[in-house]
Amino acid sequence: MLKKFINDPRDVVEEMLEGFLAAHQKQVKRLETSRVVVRKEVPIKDKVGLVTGGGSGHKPAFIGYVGKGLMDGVAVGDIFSSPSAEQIYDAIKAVNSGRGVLCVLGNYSGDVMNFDMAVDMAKDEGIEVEQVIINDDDGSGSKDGMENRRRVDGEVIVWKAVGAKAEEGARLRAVKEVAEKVNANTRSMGVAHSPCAVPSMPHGGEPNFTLGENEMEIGVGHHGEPGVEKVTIKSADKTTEILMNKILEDIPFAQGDEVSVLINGLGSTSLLELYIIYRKVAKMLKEKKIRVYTSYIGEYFTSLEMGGYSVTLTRLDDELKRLLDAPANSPLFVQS
Amino acid sequence: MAQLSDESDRYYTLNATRYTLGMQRCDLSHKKEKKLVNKENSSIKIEEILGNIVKKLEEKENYLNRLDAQIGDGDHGRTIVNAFKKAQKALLENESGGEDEAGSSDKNTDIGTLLKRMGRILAFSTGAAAGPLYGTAFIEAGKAIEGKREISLKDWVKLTRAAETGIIKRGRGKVGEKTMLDTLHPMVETLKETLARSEVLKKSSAKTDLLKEALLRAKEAAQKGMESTREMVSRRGRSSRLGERTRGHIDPGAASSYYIIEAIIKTCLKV
Repeated sequence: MLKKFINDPRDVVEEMLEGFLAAHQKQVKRLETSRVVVRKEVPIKDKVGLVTGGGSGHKPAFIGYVGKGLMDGVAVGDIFSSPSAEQIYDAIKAVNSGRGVLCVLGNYSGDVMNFDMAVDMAKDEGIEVEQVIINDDDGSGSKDGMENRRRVDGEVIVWKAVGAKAEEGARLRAVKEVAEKVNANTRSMGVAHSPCAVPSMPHGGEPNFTLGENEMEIGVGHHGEPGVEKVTIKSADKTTEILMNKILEDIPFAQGDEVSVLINGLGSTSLLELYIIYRKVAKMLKEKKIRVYTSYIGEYFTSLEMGGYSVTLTRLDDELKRLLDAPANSPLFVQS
Repeated sequence: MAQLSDESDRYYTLNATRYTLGMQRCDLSHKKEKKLVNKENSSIKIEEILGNIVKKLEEKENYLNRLDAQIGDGDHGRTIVNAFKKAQKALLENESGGEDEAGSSDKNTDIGTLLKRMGRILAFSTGAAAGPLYGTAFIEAGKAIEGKREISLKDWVKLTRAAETGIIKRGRGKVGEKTMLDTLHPMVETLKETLARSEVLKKSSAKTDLLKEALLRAKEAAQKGMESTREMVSRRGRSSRLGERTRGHIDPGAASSYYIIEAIIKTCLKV
């Protein structure tokens, strides 16, 4: 068992939300009849509404990104489990100002089915809705099977870019194109040396996968899904090199490219380690003459208390550089 | 509640009047003397079926959670119990309100409409992967028997086939991938076979209650289907990422769909 400080395991999502809303009530609110978190001022006049959502257990994702220059509404699922179509539909309705709504979601079967139904319902009511499914994970299948690839933390970069684009007053079509552009130019790869546990007991839960004392899993997914292979644990530099080589060859990234780098802790890997990892990433990019335009280092999309990290590279053009530079202000992501 | 006796078998008819699931007697050799047994004894209310589904799932909740914990996140039992409880509550509220969305009284609601209504609640308010899949199954089943107040063996084939097709479309899955389809598919096939046989029997003078037999065989086929997932490797949904690790465990979705089928059939047959 992995130990946790919780009350009744069945109440973790509700109690987390209660605390979150109390702490950030100046910025966000919950819809009265649905487990949906929205910006306080929705619907925002003349702005395309932005909705995302997914299972809980990924703080600061998803609700931490509800704010100016980011998302307008988030449908909150149970731990690692898709929200219902009804919740997503409620979120779409709440953020629609008449300029249409874009849904951004990860490529997981539950999320895809529920978003599909919600979008159909909203369309039936005459709301203009589009959706973009994110699949940035190199660790979940070959390039030929892009439709099988999972979403990992590349979705954070999508939120940042589409949030800024919508804030500029762009139309739905253009906002959707930005989401697709970021997704097409983003690749991620994760690694874990220890599992996480879905709360299921009074003081914790069972680890959702097992690794030997000296093992790590390359390409691990956001819920502990197995990746490419299990190998003996290696140094920060050697592990990062494995991840980076896989990422670089996938698009592929080339000399002269400008990129954003996201080093994401999966839950229990320290910032100290993440900077050691970034050091290696920066070195490798320099050698390949790929310029780092901007970097994000920290916990951006966790998997409960999983021990590990992921690296995400996004190839940027002038538009994406401008959008990533734009200010953003949400409970758990602030950029001035 | 009348137990099914040899005699009542023959005239085993269920009517859909108010929230009832009607079943047409399938004893084709008795076509001319189409007697209905007392409605009180023969008709089955859909809330009775739903009540039995919830009861069965609650009984199996922890077991389903444990199955899910082997290859998923261990909450399938809870998710599915909550989903059907919600559907039950909504249908009961709707009944006491006496009006459906169109504003007309429920008294004459047909089986198809009831199944669709139940499906919509399951599909839209459950979440996870189970909600859309179960919801779609009931919605499509309802569509297939739109307007019907009694359902014959032919209708059973139609509605179960529609449910299967709906699940395939919604989940983009197929048989053999260690999912609920592995429970549902053999059941549909068995019903189809029995229906084909009934066409032959129609010509002979054999007097058997085909519908009852068909449903019992269908239940058995579903159970075998569920058990067959134990040896399969998951190829669909989140568990598919565990590959070989999923072998040796019954799929929780295949199991819950079997318990639902079992509850429906047992209620219809009053066994």
